[in-house]
Amino acid sequence: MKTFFGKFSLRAKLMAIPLAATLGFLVVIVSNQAVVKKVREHLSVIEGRYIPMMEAGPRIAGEFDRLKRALQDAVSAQDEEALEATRQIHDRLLKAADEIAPVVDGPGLSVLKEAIRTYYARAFDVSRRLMAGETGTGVVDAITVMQQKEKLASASLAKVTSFDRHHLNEAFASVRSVQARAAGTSFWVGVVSTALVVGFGFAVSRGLLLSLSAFSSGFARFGAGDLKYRVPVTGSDELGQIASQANQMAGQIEELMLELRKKGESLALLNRELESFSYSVAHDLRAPLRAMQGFSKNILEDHAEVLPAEAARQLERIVVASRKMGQLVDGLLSLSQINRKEIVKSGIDLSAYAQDILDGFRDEASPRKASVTVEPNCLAQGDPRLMHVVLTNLLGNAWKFTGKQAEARIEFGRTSKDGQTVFFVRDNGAGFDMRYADKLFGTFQRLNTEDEYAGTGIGLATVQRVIHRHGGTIWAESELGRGTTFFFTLAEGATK
Amino acid sequence: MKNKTILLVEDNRDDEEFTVRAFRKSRVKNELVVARDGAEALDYLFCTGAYANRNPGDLPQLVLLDLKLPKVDGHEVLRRIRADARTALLPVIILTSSKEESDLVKGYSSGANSYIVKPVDTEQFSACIQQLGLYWLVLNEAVPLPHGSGEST
Repeated sequence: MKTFFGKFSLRAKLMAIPLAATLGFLVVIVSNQAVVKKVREHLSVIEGRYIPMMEAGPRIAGEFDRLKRALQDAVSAQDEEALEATRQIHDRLLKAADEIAPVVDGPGLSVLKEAIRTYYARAFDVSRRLMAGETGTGVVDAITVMQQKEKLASASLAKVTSFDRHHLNEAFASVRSVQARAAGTSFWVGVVSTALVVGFGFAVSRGLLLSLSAFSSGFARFGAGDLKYRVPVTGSDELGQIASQANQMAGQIEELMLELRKKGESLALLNRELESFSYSVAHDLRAPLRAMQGFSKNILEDHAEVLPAEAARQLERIVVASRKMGQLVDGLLSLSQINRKEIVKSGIDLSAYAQDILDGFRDEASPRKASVTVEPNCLAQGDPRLMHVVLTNLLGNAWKFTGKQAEARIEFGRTSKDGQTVFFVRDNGAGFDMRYADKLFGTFQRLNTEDEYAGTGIGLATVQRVIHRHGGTIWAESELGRGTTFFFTLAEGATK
Repeated sequence: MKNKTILLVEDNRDDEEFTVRAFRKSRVKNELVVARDGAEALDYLFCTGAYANRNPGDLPQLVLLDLKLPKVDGHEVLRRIRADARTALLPVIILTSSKEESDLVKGYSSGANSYIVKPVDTEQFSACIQQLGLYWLVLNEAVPLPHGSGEST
């Protein structure tokens, strides 16, 4: 059944349903038309033949009775004229008999007419003889003959009409049988076409539903990553084609995924190698740096009295430069550590972090006029240590770049953009030219000279990595001399 | 009163010199013994190899242990110190350049008493060594040793 149906296209199968129904109806209509035609024929025969005869029979009989009575009346009244007048009745009788000529087969009618004529001739003769006063055996014999002829005529008439009653029954029987046959045909055609429609409909819709549920579960498995799964292909119709195309697609996706995974793995390996390389480079740079700085300092300490002023100055420069390089190396190390560190999220209070960090700045720094605003209860899901690094860097920048402001203002708070919570760190410090905004987060990128503001150019790169690793974004708005605002989001749902 | 020694396990001559200098400038007057790799450190502690003639009962008061060492690395040295009943309670301070979380966790798990990351800046390094000496050799009460031969100043 499955394979048989599978050979046909879905369109053909769907078309077959109305086709079967239409065919059934057509058969019923045509056969009904034939039946109606046949019934009509039969009915018109009955109408044209038997009904006139049924009407003519009693009329002929009536005329016949009238003729007999008129003859008797004329004899009783001894009326010659009335006797002559019976000729007209006789003619009318014959004429009435002629009326049924079209509906009577065979010699019945001429027999009837002959019998009437014979009877009338005898009756007329008997009547005239009776009127002439003739009596005796001659008349009695004539009357007997006349009576015989009358019976003969009555018998003929009865025969003509009773013969046709039989035919009428036959006609009705035939109409009835045609009708019965037609009803039977209609019934069976109806049953067969309904069965076909229902059967086709059931088979097609069952196939459709099975295929759809197979697609649904198959696609769900594809979606869940089970690309080895194959949707069962039943038949070669459109659904079968969809199934095999889907399977083919899954195969291709699986291949691509495999390729991608391989590439991803090699990339990850490469990245790990690079990370560990840069880590060990940065790490191993520390010791020689310490040596450069330390020995320079030792010379300055131990041999200050014999050292020319210029030599001392240059040694100082070496100390400063190596300290600077040490900071860069430390920055690189922490950046690399942030990349490798696994993010462990928990509920954190960014407001508390911000307040702590800002309090720390106040303690360390020489007294500064700075107004600090921290919006309370900025809660989020994040890695506590890394988010602390983010706020330390952003607030540290704000503190640093407001250093030359007479009245520094630093603000940490929360706003929302497109329905997402956005945290911000705002200051009224030096600001930067928005034309260079794209360089802001680059490693070792600085928008100020070292002389103006100290820094390594690693802080914001670190901040951006942390935010990205949390699934968030970071951006800045700034105006030279008016201050900067850093905005950042965390992953959807990480803020409450 | 004979001061007990401090064992410095350090392969970098520069760092060794800075450490020695920092101790010299501090109040710590204990003799500083330097082992240049993990194997030498173990030889010194367990009186084997070049140190076969040393008195095994004469343990240092403190071990400053680098992690990246030739031959036997710092983690292994620490593991062996803790595994041996004679040295199990010896104060060991890891003094390294590594800020790696894995090193920190491994160090403390193996029973390091302290973990210090060497600052790049020598001023900070020197301050760090002086504080360390002050704390471990002066403030901190040492474990009473069975021989009872040494006491901190």
